[in-house]
Formats: sequence, structure tokens, C-alpha cells
Amino acid sequence: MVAVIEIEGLRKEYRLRHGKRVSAVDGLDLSVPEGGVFGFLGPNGSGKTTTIRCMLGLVSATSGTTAVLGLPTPAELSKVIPRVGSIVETPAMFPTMTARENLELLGAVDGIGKQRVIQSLEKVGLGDRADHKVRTYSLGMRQRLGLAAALLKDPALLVLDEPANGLDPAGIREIRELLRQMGDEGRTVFVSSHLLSEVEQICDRVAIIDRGKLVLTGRVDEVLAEASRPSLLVGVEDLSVGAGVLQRAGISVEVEGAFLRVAMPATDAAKVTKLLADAGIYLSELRPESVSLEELFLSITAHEEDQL
Amino acid sequence: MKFFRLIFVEMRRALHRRLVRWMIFIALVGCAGVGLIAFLTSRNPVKFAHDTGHPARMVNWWVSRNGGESFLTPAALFLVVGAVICGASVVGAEWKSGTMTTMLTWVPSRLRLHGARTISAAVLSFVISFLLQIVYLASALPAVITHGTTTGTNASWWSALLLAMLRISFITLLVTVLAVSIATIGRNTSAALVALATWALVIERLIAGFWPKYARFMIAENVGIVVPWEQLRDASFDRPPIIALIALIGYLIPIVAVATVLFVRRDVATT
Repeated sequence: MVAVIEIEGLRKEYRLRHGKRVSAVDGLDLSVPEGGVFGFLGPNGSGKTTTIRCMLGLVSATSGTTAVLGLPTPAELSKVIPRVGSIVETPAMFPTMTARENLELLGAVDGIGKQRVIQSLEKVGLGDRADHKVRTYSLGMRQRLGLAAALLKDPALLVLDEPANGLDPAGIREIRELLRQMGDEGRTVFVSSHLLSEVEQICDRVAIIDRGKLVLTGRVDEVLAEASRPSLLVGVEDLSVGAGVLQRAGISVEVEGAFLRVAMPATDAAKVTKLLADAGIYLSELRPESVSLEELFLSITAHEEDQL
Repeated sequence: MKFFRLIFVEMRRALHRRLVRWMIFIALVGCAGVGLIAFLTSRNPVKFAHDTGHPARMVNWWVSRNGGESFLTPAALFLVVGAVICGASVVGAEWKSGTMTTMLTWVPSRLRLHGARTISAAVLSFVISFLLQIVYLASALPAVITHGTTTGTNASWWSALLLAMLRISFITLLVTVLAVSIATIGRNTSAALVALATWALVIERLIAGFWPKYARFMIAENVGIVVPWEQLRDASFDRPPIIALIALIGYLIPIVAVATVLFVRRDVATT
């Protein structure tokens, strides 16, 4: 599979005022394949934005290499930037200009016509507010305007840093659908976010970074399947009696809140129901235990804080 | 072609700055006010007869320094101050609002972007200051037509006036580029304004006061020679106008170079 973003050993150090050096990104390796939506996750200060800034040539790496669309950056940035639409942190536009004027001005840099501006605004649902000044826009509308600006170049790669920042649930859903649509169109959408449930819904692949290092990457379903324990959650009226029945059958069981966690894969669910039913215990609920991306993310990134 | 397109975009961006528009508006209101005062003060024949430098006598619009103060000269000071504020703001506001990051995700070459921004600011400054001078002079026309005179305004006077206007516009161009460069170095409008004001109003005055022999190297003294294109009155030094102009450009080159290098090399780590 062709990689649209290839990062090897990326390291970015900043010097603090008193001379001490701090690593924002610490030897990051990352490969983002072409097409689909790629979620780039990490807690605050983990180096997501710095990584994006390095890729786009906004900050220079202390060491390591970045390549975007097969070309090294920042060396070949002039060939890369026209094919990349991006939002870095909060998209900034002229507040005293209308959305249309802002985009026309940006588009003029690359000779993009007015028709394309309208198309982009309509695509993000701002067609009817195109002639309103940006200062009258809500935060969500500004985010969508940033997305419209990113789409203006008809990019092969979209790099979006927290595009759902400040959006209400309806806005988040709109952005989610829009990003999914972009991914389905054949573009590669590289999105950093801390809204893990959203990422889980729209992303094909994820990478999780922590303290500037990659800790996990892969297809979302594979990552979750790997992280999930093969167990069943069983709801019964009397947990201790149910646990006793299963333990006598040689099955490992532990009480997990209002459920019994049975250490068996989902394919053995019938065996569990039969054992309990034979003992006169009837199930109120039975489901395979799954790990959400949020749980996985927290288990990976919160361990060090837990130790403190 | 792309570079010229970028210059044009940068001009439009600069003209959309609220501060730039306000400064132009204030200048136009100031011109109207000056015109009104000129008209009203020219109505009193006794006072008008005593005021030999009144702008209702068109020849006073531009006179050599040794012949007295021109009507045009005070306008140069306001234009220079306005050019500094607008030049610093065009860059400083980009950093403050985060639009610099947006632009850098569109224009991959920082050198090109900085070059286009500096050139656009310089061109706008030159053109706007020239047009404002025309408006400023035209504001005195009602006084000239109704109560004044055009006596003494021959072809050589008109050409002297035009050259003075061009020199003032060129000075505003230079200070705009200076302000753009300092604001680029400081990434901040206020920092640039404070730095320039401190230099021009405090440090240069102290140097000129304590070490008069170095006054010839001061920006203010050189501007004072270039605008009228003749020696400073009561100056203790002798400096030809062309040398003063070269000195001003000479000061600008290293500052522009430092600003360009810093803009190209420094990280853009915050929005």
C-alpha cells in the first residue's frame, strides 16, 4: 500500500527560556496509507500538532524525516502544498471579510476560480452564509469555513488538526459525515482529534501517540480486536450463585459490576447459557466484552499518570 | 506570474485590515479639516494679508526650506507616522490573528510570501501616500479659488512640487518597509511600534544631543534632508541629499535581510 505520509524518527525539541530542552516529538515513526480516514490520537501535549506542523513545514524537525505524498518535506514543500488541504489548530480567517471573500482571496493565491469557492462553501453547508462576515460566525461555522478552505484546492490529502474543536453535537455529526464522505471519495483524510468516539466511527485506521512516541497503530477493528479480551459479560440475578456454577464447570469467572465476566470467547456463548440454564439460572443479558477506542486510548496513555 | 498574483493578494489583504482603512479615513477627515480651516482663515482679509505662508497662496504649497515652511511639509510627518503604524500592523496582526499560519499552508515558499508582503506594503504605501497628498493639497483649493492666488506657480514650481510629493511618498515607502521588517522580527505590532518610536524619539535624539557629530547618521536627520532635497537649516554638518537617501536605504537593507532570514527560518509553532 502506498504511504501518503511517511514519518521516520521524527524528533522536535524546543528550548525553554532557561535553556532546558523539551521534546515535543521524540523519535516518531508513522506511515499513513493512501485513501480513507486516518485518526491521529494522543492526549494534550503528546505532539500531534507539532507532528502536523513538521509535516507541513511550519516548524523544522530537530532530526528525522517526513514525506508527504511521496515527497520529502520541507524540501519539496512547493510540490506538496498545492495538493494538501489543511487546518492547523483553529482556522484563522479575516473576521471583517465574508466567507466568500476570504476564500476568494486564498484561492487567488493558486488561481482558483470563484465557482470552486461556492462549491466548497456549499459542501460544508455554508452556501447560504457565504456573504456574511466571518466575525458573525459561531466557532462551529468557523471550523466549517476552515474545512471549506482546505477543500478549495481539491486536495489529495486533507490534514485536519482537531476539526471538531468547539462544535456542538450537531456540528460534530456534520463534520463526521463530511470527513467520511471525503475518505470515501478516495482522498486521504488525516485527522487528529481527542473525540475518540467520533474517531472510532469514521476512521479506518488510527495511530495513538503519547509523549511524542507512537504507541499503537493499525486498522481500527484490528486494534480493538487485539486489545479486547476474549470474554463474555453475563447478567444474572444472583451473581455469586451464577459464578459458582460456572467455576464448578472449570470456567474462569469474575464479578465485574452488575455482570459476571466469563473468560470465554463469544463463540462459546451457548455453553455458558446451557450451564446456567441447567442450574436454573436464567440470563438477563449476555454479550461479548468489547473495548472501545476510548478505553484502549486511556489504558495506553494514562498509565504513567496512574503511577504518579 | 504567481508571484505577482501573490503580491496582488497581499495588497487586497492589507487593504482589508480595519486599521489601514481607519488610518485612511482619519487622513481624509484630517484633509477635510485642514481645507476647512484654510478656507475659513482666508476669509479675513486682514489676517490673510499678514499670513504670508497661508495655503490659499498656492505657491506656499511647496517652497524650499530656506524660503520658509511649506503647506505640504507637515503632511509628510503624519504620512510617515501612519505608514509606520499600518506597516507594523499588516504583519503584526497576521501573527496575532493566526492568519499567518493559514497563509503558510497555502504558500509553501516563505521567501516568496515575505517578499510579496513587503513589496505589496511598499507599493501600497507609496501609492496611498501620494494620493493622500493630492487630497491634502486639493483640500486647500477652495481657499485658493475663493480668496487666494496662484501667482508664482510656474512650470518649475509644479515640477518641484511633484518631486517633493514623490520624495515624501518614497520616504513613507521606506518607513513602511522598515515597520514591516521590525514587525516581522518581533512578530508583533506593538513591539515594532515601540522599537521604532524608542529609536526615533529617544535614542536618536540622545545621540544627536550628546554627540552632534553623529547626527548625520540619524534617520530623522537624513529624512529631513531628503524631503526638501537640501541641507538641514542650522545643521552643524554638511550632507548632500543623495548621500542622505543612500544612507536611509543603507539602513534598511540589513534590517530587511535580518527580517527575511528570520521569517524563512523560524518555526511557526503557535497559531
